[in-house]
Order: sequence, then C-alpha cells, then structure tokens
Amino acid sequence: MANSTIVETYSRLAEQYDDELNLHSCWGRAADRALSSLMLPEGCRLVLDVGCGTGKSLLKLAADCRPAVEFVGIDPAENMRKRAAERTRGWDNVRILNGRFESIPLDSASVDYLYSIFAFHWTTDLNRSVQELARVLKPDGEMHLFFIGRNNGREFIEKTTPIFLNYLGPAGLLESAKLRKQLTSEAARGLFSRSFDPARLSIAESYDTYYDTLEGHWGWWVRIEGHFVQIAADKKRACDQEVKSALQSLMGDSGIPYTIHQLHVKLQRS
Amino acid sequence: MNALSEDRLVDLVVAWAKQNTRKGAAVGLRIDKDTDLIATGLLDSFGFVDLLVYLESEAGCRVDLIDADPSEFSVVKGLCRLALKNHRADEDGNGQLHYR
Repeated sequence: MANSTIVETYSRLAEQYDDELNLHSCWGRAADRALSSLMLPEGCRLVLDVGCGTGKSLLKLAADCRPAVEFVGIDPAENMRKRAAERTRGWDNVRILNGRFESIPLDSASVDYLYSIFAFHWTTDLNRSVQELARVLKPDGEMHLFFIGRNNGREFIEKTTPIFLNYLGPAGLLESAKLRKQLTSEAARGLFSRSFDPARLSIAESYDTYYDTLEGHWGWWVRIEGHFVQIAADKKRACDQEVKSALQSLMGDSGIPYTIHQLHVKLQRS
Repeated sequence: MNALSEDRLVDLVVAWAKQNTRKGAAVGLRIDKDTDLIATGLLDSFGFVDLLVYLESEAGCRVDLIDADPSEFSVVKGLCRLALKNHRADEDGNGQLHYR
C-alpha cells in the first residue's frame, strides 16, 4: 500500500520540485553528492532508480554511459513521472514506469545495478520493500540506497515540533510522523540482513550540517509538504509563519544549520 | 481490575524517557511528572510514537488522542492521565493502545 498522502502531494507539487532553490538546497547538494558517488560496474545491462522523481539523476547517469545500458526509473507520483519522461525524451534506453519500493514492475533477478536517492524513508512497508528489492536484483547485483536516519534534521525538529503539535493536534502529529520511516543504523542493518547476504552488505552513516538562509531552507520545504496536508488552508499560512520565525531564531554566523543524518546501504557484488 | 495508578504510569514514562531521549537533546535535564517532553526537545514525534507503543505493551492501556489537549498530551502527567482515563473506560475491554 503506497503512502497516498505523500504521493499525491509530490504529484501536486512536481513543478516546484526542480526549482533552483530546492536543487541548490542542502537536500539538492546531498543528492548530488550521493549521485556522484555512484559508479556503474563493467558489464552492467539494467540500471534501476527507485523513486526517480523528475529523472534528474537518471538522465545524468544515462548521459555518462554507453547506449547499450538500459535505465529504468520508477516513481508512484504521476506528475513526477511526467516530468521525468519529458526530461529523458529522446533517450531510447531510458524508461519511466509507475512503481514503488513495495511493488517494482520488473522481472525477478533482472537488475544489475539498483540505486535510490532519498526516497526509501517514504516506504509504507519496510519488510515488503526490502524483499522486493531482493527479488528484482540479480544474484550478483549491486545496490546503493541513500535515505535519512533517525536523527535527521534535529535542529529543525526541536524548534518546529511544538508548533506542529499545536496545529495538527496530538493525533495528527503522530499520524504525520508515521508517514516517514526514519531508521537507526542498527535497525537498518537488521532489516536488510534478513533479505541480503550480510557479508556483501554494509551501512555507512553520516551527519553533515548544512548552513543556509531561511529562504534557502524554505526552498526544500516542498519535499515535506505531504506531512502537513491535514492543516486547514486558512491556518496553514499562520503555521508557516510561525515555523519560519522559529527557524530564523536558529540563525548564527554561518547561517541556519540543518543536519542531515544519512544512511547509505550498500550491497556490493559478490 | 484496574491495577494502574497515575504514579505507576508516571514512573514508567519517566524511566522510558530517560532511556530514549532524542540524541543530543537537553543533556542533564531532570525529567519528572511536570516535564513537557516536546517543549523541552526531549522527544520528537517519532519518539512519542515509540513511547505510546511502549505504554501499550507495558501498561496495557490505550491512549485516545482525538480530543486530547496538545499541552496536556506532551506533559508526563497529562499523558498518563489520558492513558489512565482510557484504561478505566476500557476495564472490561481489550485495553489496546489506540491513537486515532
């Protein structure tokens, strides 16, 4: 079962996703860094991007690769897929499909190289998703998943949780929290070890603090708007204003800090 | 039989919160029945979800949050009273945690 609130919000806001402010925000930079760390192995025939969004990473990889390699990007948000399809038009070796971690529209043992950049935390079913990843990967396939960890964004969380509690109410706040899975490194290891050979599996954990202006950080807010759809439209503006004031209070000499807690699950070739 | 008391629940919540506060949050802060777990930054919403699951398994009570006051919910004793209220209402029921 896909997370319909999140998917619908991403689809609704797809046009804003490629705004310069989002692309150059801490999340845009972290995504670029993750992308630049990917290296397709020799002999790779099918590459899969799960949660491909507007197709930016997929196109970058396809452009750097020989045309014999087939690329598939899947995303559950219709308008994100449309933008990805537009972006990759003319690339005969790139396909954009409707799919998600919980249900990947590819044959078993068909994928040589699977990656995902900041999407896995939106899955609604961790076990099913990992089993699905294991199903589509070839036995010697390689996988790189980048997603947020349990302690992500701690500066913002501390400042904004009391505000969201006020606007969402206790039940709404907890429902909102459950829209996202934020694992500890230990929990991620336990989860992936159930479906993959632990000897080929490793998890790199990192904390990187990014400093930006309020406007710069607000540029990536489009990524989490799905959490706040329960707030009535007439109250949303006031809520946003309170959140902005709270974030502004974090301003220091270097800017407003935001720490990305990233987990990178790697499955190396055997 | 209702074997739960507010003091017992407060002890459970305080002990859990001491073990599970957010990484780097309010180091050295004393946690007691009057502590606001969200305003102090001790717990975030994910932590609260975990806390309610713990209350369900440990105390067998449900916390119905539909009409809960935000300021009551986030303070240790307020949360315990919410849990106890529902526990009493459920004395003859299944006593499942239920945050709608």
